[in-house]
Amino acid sequence: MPDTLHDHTNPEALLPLTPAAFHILLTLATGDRHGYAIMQEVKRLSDGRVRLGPGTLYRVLKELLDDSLIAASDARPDPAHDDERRRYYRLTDFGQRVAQAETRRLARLVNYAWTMPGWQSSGQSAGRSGGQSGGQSGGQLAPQGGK
Amino acid sequence: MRQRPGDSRRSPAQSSLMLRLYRVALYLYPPAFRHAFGDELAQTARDAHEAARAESALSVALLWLTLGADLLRSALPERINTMRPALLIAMALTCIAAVLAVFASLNLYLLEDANPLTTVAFTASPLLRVSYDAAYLSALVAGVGLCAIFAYAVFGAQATVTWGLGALALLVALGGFGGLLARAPLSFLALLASYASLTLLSFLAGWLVAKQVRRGGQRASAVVGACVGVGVALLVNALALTLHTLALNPVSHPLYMQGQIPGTHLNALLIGMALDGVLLVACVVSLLLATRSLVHARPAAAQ
Repeated sequence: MPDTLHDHTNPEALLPLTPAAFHILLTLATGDRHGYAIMQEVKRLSDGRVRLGPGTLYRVLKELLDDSLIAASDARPDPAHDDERRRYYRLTDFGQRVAQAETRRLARLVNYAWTMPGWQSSGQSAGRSGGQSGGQSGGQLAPQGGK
Repeated sequence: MRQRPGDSRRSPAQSSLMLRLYRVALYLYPPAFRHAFGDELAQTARDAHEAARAESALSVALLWLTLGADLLRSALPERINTMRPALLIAMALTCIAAVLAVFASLNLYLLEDANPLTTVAFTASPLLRVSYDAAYLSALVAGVGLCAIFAYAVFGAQATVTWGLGALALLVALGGFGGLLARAPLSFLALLASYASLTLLSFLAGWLVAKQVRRGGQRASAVVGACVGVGVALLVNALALTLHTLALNPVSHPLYMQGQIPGTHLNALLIGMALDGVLLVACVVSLLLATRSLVHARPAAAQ
C-alpha cells in the first residue's frame, strides 16, 4: 500500500531538510519510536546540541507526516512504557530515500568544505575519527551507493 | 518513594498542577493540531517531567521554563500557518495602522494637552475641542480593537473573550480619562458617552462583517470583524486628526507661530497622519480581499 498520494519519485524536491527533521529521520532509521523516545535519541545523537521541545517536535512530526516521510506505526516496541496515548512513528521508504538524499547533499558540502585552503590540517586535528582516510580533499564523506 | 524532609523535589500534587496547566496551555495551538497531537504532547511533557524529577528540583524548574518557551515558540507559527494569507495581511496592516494612530494621537496629546494656551484656543473653537477628543477617543478604541484581534486570533470567538474585551474597554476608558470623574464630572460623562458610542459603532460594524463571512470559520470571521472594528475607529481617528490639523494649522496658527507648541513645520503628528492615511487605504483593500476569500471559502475550512 502506498504511503502517500504525494509524488515519491523525487526525494531531492524536499531538500534541504531542517536540522530537526533530519535528526528525527535519522532517529527513526534505527527503529520505531514514540515522541519522548525521539526527543531523547535526538539529544543523544547530537551530543546534547539539538534539544527538541515537545511543541517543536510535534510540529516537525506533523510536517513529516504530511510529506509522508514518516507514518504512524502499529507496532509497540517499548511495552515497558506503553500507553494508549503514545503513538509510535516509523520511517517510510520515501522518508528513507529523502534522508539518504540529504546525507549525500551534506556529504558533498562537507567534502567541498575540506578543499578550502588551510582547512585540511585543522580538520584532521579536529578528530575525524572512524577510519576516514585523509586524502587530497580531506577524506571522502559521501556514502557509497545510496539509492 | 517517600520524600525526605527538606527534599526540594516537587510533590506529586505540584507535578499534577504543572501538567494540568500545560494541558490548558495547549489551547494556544490551533484546534486541529491540538486534536491530532494534544494527548501526545501532554504525555511527552509528563515523561520529561518524570525524568527531570528523578534528577533535581532545579531540573524540574528548568524543564518547565523550557517547555513554556517551546510552547510559545511553536504555537504562534502553527497558528499563523492555519490562517489565510489575505487575513494575515489584513491583520498586520490593521495593527500597524492602529499603532500609528495611537502614536499620532499620543503625539497630539503631548503637544497640546499640557499647554495652557490650548485651553483658550479650545474654548474659542469648539471644533478644535471636538476633533481633539475624537482623535484621542478613537485611538483608545483602536487600542482595544488591537487586543480584540489578537484575542480572537489566539482564543477564537468565545463569549468569555468578548466579555473580557468589554471589561478591557471599560478599564481603558477609566485609565484614559477617568481622572476627570472627580475634577469635571460632566466632561467625564460626555467623554464616556462618546467613547461608548464609538466602541459600540466599531463593535457593530465588526459584528455585521463577521456575520457575513462566518462561512470561513468562526475564528477567522471574528478576526476579520475585529479588524473592521479597528478600521472604523481608525477612520474616525484619521478624520479627527485631519480636521484638527486643518483647524489648528501647524504652519500658520498663532500657537505654533509663537512657539508655544513645539514642532511647527514637520512634526511627528503630520508624519503619523500621512502614514496613517496610506495604511488605512491598504488596510481597507486587504480587508476586502480577506473578506472575499472568507465569503468564497468552503464551510469545511472552518479554522
